[in-house]
Amino acid sequence: MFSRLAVIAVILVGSAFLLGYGPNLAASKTDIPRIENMESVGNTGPLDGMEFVSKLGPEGKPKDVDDRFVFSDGTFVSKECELRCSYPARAYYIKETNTGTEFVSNTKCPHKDAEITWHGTVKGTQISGTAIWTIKRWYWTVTNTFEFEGQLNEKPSISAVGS
Amino acid sequence: MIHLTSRRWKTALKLFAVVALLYGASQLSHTIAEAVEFELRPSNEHVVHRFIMLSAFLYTGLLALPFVPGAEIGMAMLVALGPPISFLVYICTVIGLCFSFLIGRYVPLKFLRLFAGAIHFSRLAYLLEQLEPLDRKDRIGYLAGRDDKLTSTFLRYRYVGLALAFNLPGNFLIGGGGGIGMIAGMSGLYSFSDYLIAVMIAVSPVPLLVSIFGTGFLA
Repeated sequence: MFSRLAVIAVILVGSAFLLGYGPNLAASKTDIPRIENMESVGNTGPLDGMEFVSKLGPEGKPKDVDDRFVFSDGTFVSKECELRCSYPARAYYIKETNTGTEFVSNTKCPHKDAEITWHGTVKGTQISGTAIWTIKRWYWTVTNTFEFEGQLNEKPSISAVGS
Repeated sequence: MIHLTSRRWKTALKLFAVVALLYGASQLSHTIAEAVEFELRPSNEHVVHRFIMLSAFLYTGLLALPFVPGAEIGMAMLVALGPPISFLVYICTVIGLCFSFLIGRYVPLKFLRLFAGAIHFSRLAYLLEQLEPLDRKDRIGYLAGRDDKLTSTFLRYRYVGLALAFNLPGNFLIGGGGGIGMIAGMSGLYSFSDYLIAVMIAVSPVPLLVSIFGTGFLA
């Protein structure tokens, strides 16, 4: 009787452990930039009103996706990600460094358990950095890093300025 | 004499063909994975998710069937999607092998034999026909080649034997994982809970190694 109960207990504990921890067993490991080290800009930030025409691609591979990055009212948004999965504009945090204005912004997809942490540097008319995308399904957690770079759009679209 | 030599040649040719097929499938899956340069992105994730669910469903179902190379689908998933998918492949493997055990345990042998015949699984139908009139111990004896010593050793270490059989290269010749699980269920020698633990341990090495070391060692 005891051994049967022990076997059932082992199966239950093992299954709970596997279901809870299993999807993260082989999860990609990437250091996501910490917002805690950055300064909040509130409703207006030094990058507001800027729009960048950019190219985005997987880390170390050709940048093959066109994107527009818009800073407005203390928020940052990638128009491509907004279009694909309704990733909303979210507050950005900054830190002034020798290489320019560093920013971090984290946004979550409202339709699935996915988020993107944008970490870049704006120097003059240039923007560059990485976007760390994490998607969680019940069976896996995948984190992929994408790189981007772009140029300031001197004549931003009306919708971009207004958004 | 000539007839015997001819049969040996046929067996050797069959074995060679199976090995060549497996080698070819392995090379093909690597080539496809490299050619596609698969990259998971926000734009293709929902399609990949559906593909994974369909593959997992097929893999679980096929793995439960004897003499069907379902394990190759699991391998292909590991090669194409890498370490993050190892947990799902592991779960599907355990579920598929539990299905085959339960089929063997609860579905009457006669029905299985008729079904195997209907879908032209002639080797399986023949095997079931041989097993049908035997009692449980004699079934193991039959499968162990009617060697009493081997049978008694097998019975003593039956869970270890089961775990080894699941990992034996070329076990598709004796029915593959699905066939082994089904025979284990039919034999009545295994309790389901102990069988489940044996399977959970026995099938863990490949997914675990892939999650730790990546897919490189599979090549």
